[in-house]
Order: sequence, then structure tokens, then C-alpha cells
Amino acid sequence: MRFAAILISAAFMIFAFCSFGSSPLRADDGAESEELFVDLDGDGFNDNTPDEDNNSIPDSAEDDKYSDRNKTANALASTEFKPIEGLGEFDLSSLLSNSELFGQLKFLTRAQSCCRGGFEAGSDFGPGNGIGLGAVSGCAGGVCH
Amino acid sequence: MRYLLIGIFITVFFVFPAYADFGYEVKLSGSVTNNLISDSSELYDSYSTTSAALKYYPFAQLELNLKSEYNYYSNLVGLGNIMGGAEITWIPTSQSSPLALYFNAGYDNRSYRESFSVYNTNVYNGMGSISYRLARRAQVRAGITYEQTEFDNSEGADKEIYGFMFGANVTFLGSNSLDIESGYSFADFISVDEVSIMSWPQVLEETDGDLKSFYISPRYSRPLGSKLGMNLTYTYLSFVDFDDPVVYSYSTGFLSPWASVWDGNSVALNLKSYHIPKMIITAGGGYWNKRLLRTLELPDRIVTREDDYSRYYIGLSWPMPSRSGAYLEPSIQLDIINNTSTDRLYDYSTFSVVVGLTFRR
Repeated sequence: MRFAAILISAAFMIFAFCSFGSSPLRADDGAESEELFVDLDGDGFNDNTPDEDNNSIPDSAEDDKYSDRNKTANALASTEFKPIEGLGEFDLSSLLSNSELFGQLKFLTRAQSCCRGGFEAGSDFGPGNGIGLGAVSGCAGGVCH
Repeated sequence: MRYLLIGIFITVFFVFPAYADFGYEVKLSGSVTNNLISDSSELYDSYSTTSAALKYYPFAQLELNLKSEYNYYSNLVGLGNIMGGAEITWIPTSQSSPLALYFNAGYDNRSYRESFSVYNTNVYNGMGSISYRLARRAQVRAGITYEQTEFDNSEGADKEIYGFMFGANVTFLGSNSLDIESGYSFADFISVDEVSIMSWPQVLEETDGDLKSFYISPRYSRPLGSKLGMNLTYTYLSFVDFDDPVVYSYSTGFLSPWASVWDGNSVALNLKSYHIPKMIITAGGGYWNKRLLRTLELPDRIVTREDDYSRYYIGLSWPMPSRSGAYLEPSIQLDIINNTSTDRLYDYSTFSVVVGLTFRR
């Protein structure tokens, strides 16, 4: 099994070596805050990348999203409503429900709600490690392997 | 504590209805495994899990969660169990603040069928944590945790765990993220006096034990292109002032109260991919070198166990949010586990497939 550990480490080093300096998500290349790379959940992706349709897939990783949107925008250009200007001090968060606001707060505290060690270390490896798979869990009968 | 939680729930449900909104979540899953109890007996079984949660938001900083779960096993029917629980999460800080506070408390009751009722448990847990954004790419955090496990129908396996942890997350050289976490845990438990095990006639003497554990875990993560992300996590755990106690064990399988308590090293690589449109692929592999507590298998067999455990998984999920706010996610996962142990009973391999469906609103 030590071979497995060596294999994993070697795979990691190859990935890292091939990717350094060539990532299209480098924060320094981008403009401002939404490009600022932060990965608190440890999935390797920027937590701040927009996900307009809330499907847990960053918009930047969905090739067809922008092309579809452009086609739709062109087709509806003549009937498009203009955004209301001059909202002044209006607080947009007042339009959100409690659950939506709580979801935003929970996102901010995503690194605070779990631990990687202690007396249950490793029990959340797999789908429960922040790279989740919804209904699939690493546990059987309520007990984690 | 359970009455405190029930009291809070009732109060909040009645006091804040005008501002409240609700959410709910239902999960269904079915699984097949060639080794249900994770030992050399290789017991084949299929099982299903149904869980439901009702979430209530009396105001934006508070979530109340009533949850339930039912597990059904085709062959080992007695292992079927039902869980009911409640959880409260409070995040009192604002989004614009660099300081964030997080509080969570919960209670779970799990009841098995008669033949496995020795495992019926009540679990109480709580957590408080704080984080502070030092700079745009650096955050520090600290937290305390508490968990109490009570076994309804057996004494000797109850435990109380206290822990504290602190961590830091920094981004460097563009899109490289390093997260380091360290912590210390204390557990109160009941151990068995080793001399009394061998006495004749056997009269087991129990002593209150105190287990301490330290861990440190660096995690490196980064994207590998626009559609692939990875993390590599190393964890070092070590018992502190360890006098190698003997504890009760009620099973040879994964239900043992002590199966999750160990010290040693682990390394894990996880990948997340968006290469299939609209879908999320997750895959990973990990290796654990574990020294477990010595356990007493009645009448007088003491099991000393050190394991080399490796696990590999790949999963596919298809998140489907709707404009109305509903969310549907089918998923499938394949798992392979290999374990070699100093005790041959625990030399085993496991292959399992899980298919799941999540719906929430």
C-alpha cells in the first residue's frame, strides 16, 4: 500500500509540474475581485467564480453557456427591458429571502464548519470531503467507513 | 441537551413565523457492496437510504433543521435503522465583515432493529468557530468542537470528545492555495483493565480513560486548466501520552464504536472535473496507515490492529437547478477499498456502487 502513496504523490507532482504558470485561472491575469483566487473548500477551483444558474459548475467551465446566452440576447434585443437606473441607496439584499441570505452567510463560513482531524479523521474521505456528490455518501447504515 | 434544542425549536417556530421561510431536501440512494461490514467475511448486501430534512429560516442568520433517515438492508435485515435529529446553525456576522462567527449544535438518535439494538445511539454535538480575513488572499480560523455519544443499550462504549483546531488558508503564485489545519482532541472513555481480562473467574474491571490526540494537516489545491481541480491532503495524527488501553468492541465490523479512532498518517488526492457538459466528475485515491486501539473481543481475545488502508473512488453527478428554485441531482459513485491488517480478520477488499437522487427546494 505504500506503493499507492508513492503513486499518488507522483501523480500530483506531474500534474503540478505540467500546470504551473499555464493556468487560465491565474488571479494576476484577471481584472479584479471576482477573479481573485480563493479556494477555501479545497476543490481546486476559485470559490469566487460566478455560477449564474446555481448548478455548482462555474460559468467559466461551461463552454456553451456564453454562446447560448449571446444567441438569446441577440434574438430578444428589440424587446429587452432596460435595467432601472438610479436605485441610489436601495439595498438589493432586501429582495432576497432568509434562506438565500443564510446561504450566502454559510458560503462565507464554508471553511469553519468541519475539521480534518480528531477522532473521526478520514471518515469523510471521498464524496464528503467538500467535493460532494449529493445523495451519495461515504457512509453505510449511518456509519462511515 | 435534547430538551434545550426542542425548546429552542418550539420557541423560534412560534415567535418568528411572519419573516420565516422554509426549505426541504429529500435524498434517495441504493447501493450494492460485496463487503458490508468491512472484514474478511466479505458479506454481500444491498441497501437503500431515504433521508428527508425540513429547514426553517426564522431570520437570515439562523437555520433550524429537522432531519430523518431510514436505512434498509436486503440480507442483513437486522442492521436496518432509523435516525431522527435536529440541528441549529447560527451565523451572527454580516457578509461585509472580515470577521465571521459560526455556531452549530445538533442531536441525533439512531435506532436499529432488535438484533442490533446494542448500537442504538444518541449523539449530541456542538461547534463554535471564528475566522478572520487578514488580507484578500489570506484567512485564519479557529474553532472548538464537542461530541457526546451515548449507547442506549450498552455501557462501556460511551464517549465524550472535546477538540479545538486552528487553520490558515493562503493563495500564492496566482491560483495555488495552501490550507493548513492543526488541532487537539480529548476523549473521555471507558477502558478495560488488562489484568482483569485474564483473571479466573473473569471479573472485568473498568477504568475511566483519557485519550488525547494531535493532528496537523496541510492541503494544497489548484486548478489544472479551466475544467479540472485537484487537492492533495496530508494528515498526521498522533495519540499523546498514549498508554495503549484496551476498549470494548462489540463487533468485527464497521459498527465498532472504535473503528474510527486511530493514529498514523494519511495522504489523499482528489480531483474534480467539469469535462462532461452539465455534469461533475469527482475522483480520488487515498492511503491511510492506521494504528487502532486494542479491543476486547469477548471472552478474552485482545485484538491488536495496525492497518494499511487504501481507497479509490469515482463519481458522477448531474445538478439540475430550475428557475423556480427547485434542485434535482442524480448521482452515481464507484468505490474500491483495500485493507491489510496485522489481524488477518481485517484483511479485506470492498467494491461498492451507490446510485443516488437528491431533490431540494
